[in-house]
Amino acid sequence: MRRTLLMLASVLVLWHAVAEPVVSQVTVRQRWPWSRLVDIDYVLEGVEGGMWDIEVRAFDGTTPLDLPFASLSGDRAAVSNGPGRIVWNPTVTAYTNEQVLTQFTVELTPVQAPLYLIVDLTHAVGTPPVVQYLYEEDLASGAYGTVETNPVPGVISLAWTGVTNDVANKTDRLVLRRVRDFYIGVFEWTQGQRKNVNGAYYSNSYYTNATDRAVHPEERLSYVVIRGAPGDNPAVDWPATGRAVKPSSLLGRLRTKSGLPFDLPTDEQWEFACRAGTATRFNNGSDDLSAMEELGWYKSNANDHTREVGLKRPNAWGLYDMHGNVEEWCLDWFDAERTLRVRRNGSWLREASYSASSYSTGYAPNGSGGTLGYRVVLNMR
Amino acid sequence: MKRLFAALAVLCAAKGFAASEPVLVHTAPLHNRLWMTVVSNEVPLSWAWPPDAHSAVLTLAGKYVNETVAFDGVTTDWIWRPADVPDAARDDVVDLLLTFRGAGDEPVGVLAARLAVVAGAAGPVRVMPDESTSDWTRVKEDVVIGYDAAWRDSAKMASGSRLTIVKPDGGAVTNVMADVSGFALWNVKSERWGFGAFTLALDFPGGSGGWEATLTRLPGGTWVGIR
Repeated sequence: MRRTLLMLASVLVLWHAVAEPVVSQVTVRQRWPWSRLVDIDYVLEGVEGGMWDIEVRAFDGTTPLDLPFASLSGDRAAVSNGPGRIVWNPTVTAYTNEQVLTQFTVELTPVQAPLYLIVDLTHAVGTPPVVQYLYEEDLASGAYGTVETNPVPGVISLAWTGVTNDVANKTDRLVLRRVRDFYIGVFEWTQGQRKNVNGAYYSNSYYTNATDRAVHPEERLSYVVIRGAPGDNPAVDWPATGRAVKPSSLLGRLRTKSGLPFDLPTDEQWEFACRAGTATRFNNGSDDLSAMEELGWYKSNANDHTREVGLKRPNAWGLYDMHGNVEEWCLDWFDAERTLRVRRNGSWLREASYSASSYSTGYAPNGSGGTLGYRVVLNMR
Repeated sequence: MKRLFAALAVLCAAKGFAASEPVLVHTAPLHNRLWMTVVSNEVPLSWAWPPDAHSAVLTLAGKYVNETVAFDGVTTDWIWRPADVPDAARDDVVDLLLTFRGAGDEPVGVLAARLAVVAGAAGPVRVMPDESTSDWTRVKEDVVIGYDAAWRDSAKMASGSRLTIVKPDGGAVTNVMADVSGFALWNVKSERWGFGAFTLALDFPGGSGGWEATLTRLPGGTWVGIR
């Protein structure tokens, strides 16, 4: 009996030592009295591969506290070995604002990062959002349909191609793929998703049939309609005003509905996600313009209008239509004069060369057109 | 055997994660009277050191406090002991200014805060055990007027706050503060204030709501009444 227990203990020690990362030296302190921000410092060891996040559980004494996603920032996603700092903003946690937390503690746990995040867009505003995470083992179980590993030669990857088999993934749900320290929409934002968030289709679209338009990207939207404008109260003018968006903007409504601080990608995030580890003109590892035939909708194959999202080959991380279909707004200013915002990707209207991973241009933030769409990101930092 | 089970339990429980020691966390100042109030003689001040800072200077300035502390090199905590200064048992309002400086001594960041030191927080204070005594509401010297609670809804759109004290002779003194919550120090003992009925009014420019009080000061003591 004793020998068995000793063996078990040895196994546990070994498992503890080599199998997973370990967090230690966790300290908490508030930047008082200058600020309400709370620094949570830690040291992480044992990361040897894969993508790891830090799960934060908080308590006041023994009472658990629910920390909203948007209240945490800093080193909590895609973490690496060494010291890290997570910052908690208590003012975002409305229900704890009425009191002092006299015995505030946190527990930090390294956890394997999920591959996909799925948000149900059909629930009523005011009811708790329905959020689901998918891990590699979930996809490997076969319950979610086809999964491709290494669809791009030379790039270690995993693409959930079965996501396209259910129309609801393009209309009633928002499916995002985890990339580095952010999630990004698997598809371009669709008109069906807009209907779920805003209550109605946008009046202006090439498509008039509800079934058709639901799975097509939303277009004819300006940057200002998506996020807000400097003239709003409060002003919306990234980066000067940070991640704030106008509450009645498309992203504002999506945030209200989901409880998650979605935004447009930065220029850098967009290209990082588009390339998926490739350095070539297109994200399938090709420099040849003919690659667009399998990757996306452009002037020669789109028949002069947008096409249903997710019908062409995804990149190595399972992102669809990063080449072609609609141009996509990004957060950044395009020019030093700050008159244009960045738009990436080509479109159904343009020749294949405009859809290259590196292609970038600018457009007036209040401008719109039938080639202009977007996809959302959820930042973990 | 028990020891072995205990060790196994610790191993299982401690796998991967770690917990912090409990600390006090102030949440929103508007509903939190402790947010900007010194409640002990050991006041821990914490901050994040900017990456481009090489030194910093902390100044503490109040009616009874005038202190400067220099930090050469990375420092993120400092304990302030209000009772180290004379008369710290009296009410005071202290402005804290922490200025970070770069390699060329140029300012690279500033943090500002205001703390109220209330009598008794930093040392012994006289306690009157009987509410019937006439001394109970007597204020003789300085008063910290705090307004850090219950103004959230009416004052949330305000750009700041304004405390106006109208003297018995009709003259008025107006204190304009940048925050909708905070503290003001009123040195009622000063001879220039005189005696008689005072009117105090607090309002919030850009917002709504307010607060009023009257105070009658008699020679030998001050009596406060709320209206």
